Amino acid sequence: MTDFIKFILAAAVLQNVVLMTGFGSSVMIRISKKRTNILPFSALLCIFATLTVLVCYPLDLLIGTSVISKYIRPLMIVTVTALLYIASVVLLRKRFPEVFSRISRLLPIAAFNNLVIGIALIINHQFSVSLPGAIGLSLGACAGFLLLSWLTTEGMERLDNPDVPKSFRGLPSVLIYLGILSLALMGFSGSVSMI
Amino acid sequence: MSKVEKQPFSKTMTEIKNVFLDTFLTKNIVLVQAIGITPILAAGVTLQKGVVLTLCTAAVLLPASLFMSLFGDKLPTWVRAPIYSVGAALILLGAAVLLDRSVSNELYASLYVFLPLTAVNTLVSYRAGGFSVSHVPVVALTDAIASSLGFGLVICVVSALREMASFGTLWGETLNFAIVLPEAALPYAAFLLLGFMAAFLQWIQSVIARRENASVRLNG
Amino acid sequence: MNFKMAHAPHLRCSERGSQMCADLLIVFAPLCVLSAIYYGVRPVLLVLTGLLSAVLFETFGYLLMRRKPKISDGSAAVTGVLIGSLVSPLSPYWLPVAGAAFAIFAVKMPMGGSGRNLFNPAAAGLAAVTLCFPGFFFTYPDPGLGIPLPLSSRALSEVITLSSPAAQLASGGQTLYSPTMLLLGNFPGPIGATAIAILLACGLFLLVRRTITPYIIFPYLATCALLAALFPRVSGGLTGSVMAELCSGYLLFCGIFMLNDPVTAPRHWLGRTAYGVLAGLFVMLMRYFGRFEEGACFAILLVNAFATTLDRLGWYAVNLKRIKRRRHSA
Repeated sequence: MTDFIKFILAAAVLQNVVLMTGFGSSVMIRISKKRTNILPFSALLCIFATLTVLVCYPLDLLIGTSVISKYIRPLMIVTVTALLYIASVVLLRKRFPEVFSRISRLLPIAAFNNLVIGIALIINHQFSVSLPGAIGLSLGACAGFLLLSWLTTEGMERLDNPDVPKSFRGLPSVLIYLGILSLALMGFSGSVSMI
Repeated sequence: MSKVEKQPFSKTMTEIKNVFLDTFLTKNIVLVQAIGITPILAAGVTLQKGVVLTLCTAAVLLPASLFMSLFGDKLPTWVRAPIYSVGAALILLGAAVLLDRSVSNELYASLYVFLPLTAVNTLVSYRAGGFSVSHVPVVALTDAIASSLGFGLVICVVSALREMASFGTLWGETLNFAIVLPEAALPYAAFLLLGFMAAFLQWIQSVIARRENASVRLNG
Repeated sequence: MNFKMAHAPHLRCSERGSQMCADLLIVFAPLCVLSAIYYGVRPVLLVLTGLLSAVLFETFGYLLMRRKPKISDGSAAVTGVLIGSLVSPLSPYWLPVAGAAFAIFAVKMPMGGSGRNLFNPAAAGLAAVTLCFPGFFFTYPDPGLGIPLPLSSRALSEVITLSSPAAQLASGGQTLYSPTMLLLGNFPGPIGATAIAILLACGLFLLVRRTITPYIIFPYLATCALLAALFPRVSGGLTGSVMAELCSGYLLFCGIFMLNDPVTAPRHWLGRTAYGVLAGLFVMLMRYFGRFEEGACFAILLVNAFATTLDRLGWYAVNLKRIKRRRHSA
């Protein structure tokens, strides 16, 4: 249980996964352009990340740590995510067609995402962690993604002003904003300790 | 732009030229469209890693774009993403084996997490999955090449600068530098570098636009 | 109806902005004087270096952007003095210059110049300098030296250094400084952050002049004190822990001078209270889990990002009933 709490806090705030490792940063910037997209996307991301971790964790233990399994692991994770995505599409189209029509554009990006695959990759490769810890890590990463998307949207709104120099309008100022946020998180212990 | 079955060769060539310049420079894939930032942040720390990631991105993007351009519109929308992602992962499996066995064990070990992430890189989702589907194969291929080159340029410049700043080396060769800042290897330095590079690109574009306007006013 | 466009700080009287900066610069004088008593002229020179470099960089920045330099509002001067006051008396002269350069060129100018910065520039400059040069930043001289510090940076290697109370807290040791020593600034620390009694007087002066608001500083200090009492890092009882935590590092300095920046702080009273509490939480978290003995500047950057959200939440919380009534009647 402590593993679970420890990893949630770490991944969400203390060492926000998006800012420290960069997982999902491109997607986050694109999603943050529209405030209403943030919550549904983060929810979808959370579902895919947690389910992928849940399925890949026992599979990881199954394939072991030989040289060949090292090569196959990423392919296995992407295939698991693909199967989960197909299952979710089939389920949504049959049971909840209106929901599907609203989120069908977000669904593939939420499933095939650096954050989802990256979390599944670093677990048990970079550091061995128990299953509750792994789930805590993925939940925390998504919570961190949500928090950061919110802060980015707020920042983008404030940076949309006529005083910003012409060369910095738009993406450059947002990147610098994220850079300073990342700098702020460097105050917590650990450099890029998750990689 | 919809796929046109037969159009004059010169029109296709103009389209190719425009798409190339657009994706490579004017709307540079990283600096303007914010696609493909993830690998640059944590893995774009040495020039060697930057080059490897560029080659892997190209190795995945070119076939994916070509495939999606040829067969994409025949597949239902929801099936496209799993196909090109799993396909990309297969290609990267081969790339990983190649890197580990033939090139360098340490490089593979340090890129273990970021190599397979190229399969689900936003570059693949947005360019192969988005742009290529609605364009003829030649244009899609040009876009893939331009995206890879644009991404490669940015990641190599950022990696080279960070390698020089944090380790005082370039491509593993030590340079004579008085100031070495190990903290430039941290992600915040990449964000700030990218921000300033993007601003520099925007500035260049505004200078070019001003010169063009001035010459139009002179001639017109 | 003709609306006049204005940007932060949204102050009723246009002279208030420069008056607030003038107030801040005035209160730095006694802090510099006390530092000069302990260490000689060197700390004053460091503060002046920070001030001059910030003003010069800002002028240069405005000229680069082809705008008229607006230094008379004093914000660049305040940024420079803040950076200069938080470096160690032993730091080389280029350290405040590097901090000021980062503050102006990476934080202030790209985001729109004075009144538009999303983060406190001084905090950002200090954070960058702390991260890159922690050795220079956290080496403090013994205030009981009796002789002034050498002006040249080359002669500094012979000066005896002591670990500050913040470093002792971080390593879990017992702080060796009595409350009197803490209040009089007789302990190693940054130039302007050690004279606790003078800092408290400055804070009172600024509160009376309404340059800083009680809604931020009191919740901030209360949160820090509460966390220090609940999770002590030294075995000196409750008061010992609270005194040690509040007087070490530059916690108090940040609360008085940096948190109240009208451009980056919220405007609504409830938002401000929440801001103070969150800032206190982040500062103490940085101390407990942070990389450095003092991470208040990082905490300030973090909490700056939450300012607009807290303003929004504060406004909604207070006006919830009115909004519900309007929705029902509509």
